Amino acid sequence: MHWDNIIFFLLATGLVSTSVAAVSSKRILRSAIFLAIALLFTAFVYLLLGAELLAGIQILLYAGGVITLIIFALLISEKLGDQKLVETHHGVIPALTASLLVLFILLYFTWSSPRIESLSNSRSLSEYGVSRTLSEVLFSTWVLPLEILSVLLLAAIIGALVLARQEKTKGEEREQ
Amino acid sequence: MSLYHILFLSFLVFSIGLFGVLSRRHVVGILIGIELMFNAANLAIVGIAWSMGVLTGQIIALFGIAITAAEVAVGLALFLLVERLTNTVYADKIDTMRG
Repeated sequence: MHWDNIIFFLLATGLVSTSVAAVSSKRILRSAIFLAIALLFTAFVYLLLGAELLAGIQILLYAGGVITLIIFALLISEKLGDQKLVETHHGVIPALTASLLVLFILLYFTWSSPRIESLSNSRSLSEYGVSRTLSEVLFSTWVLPLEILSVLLLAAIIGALVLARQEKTKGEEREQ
Repeated sequence: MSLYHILFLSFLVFSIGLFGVLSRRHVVGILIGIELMFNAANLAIVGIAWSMGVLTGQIIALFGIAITAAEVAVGLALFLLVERLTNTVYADKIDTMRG
């Protein structure tokens, strides 16, 4: 249990520092890389919480797929070499105030709630987080949401294709 | 390591992401902030599920990750479209609908 604590605090420090770097970095590509590292840290926190399947999916889909998409979009967009991109923040003080306010509100309502206390004492499942159990629950109780999710992903693919193609067809019409 | 530590970490990352969303000018920067907030919410859900000893939280987090992937795909397509149409990458320059 002692080692768990040390590893958790190391991971938490890494996660918070890379998150700060991701939102404050001047270069947007660098900030995408920092986001990838933050997502990897989160995957390791999931491992620590006994969610191996979730950690693997986080690395594969989030840190792999999503970051690749973001970096590709940044590379495709032509403004990357523009030196004006250095100036990337505005209204830092109001944004800082608002986010600190949200942090304090979240902390206050969580810490003053008696329900959290009861949640944190009721750990019982011994073979928690085993991928087999998770898959069995996913494909029995949660089949309908899973199928709806696959429809959503299909809609997202089609929507992204339509959005990305629109300009090209307009250009062809203009040429004609 | 208790539920309180995990929730504190999650809230901290959520606020950092919110700061990014509110202060960034680049559209993809805003998207990165939203990703951080999603990630923090997933972390809180998994932490609470871990603390209660139930599997449902992990499944909800799985769905969250998949929905985020769809959201990012559409968001980046929108970013490329807007960048092509308005020739800017800054969210505060895209003010066509401002009255």
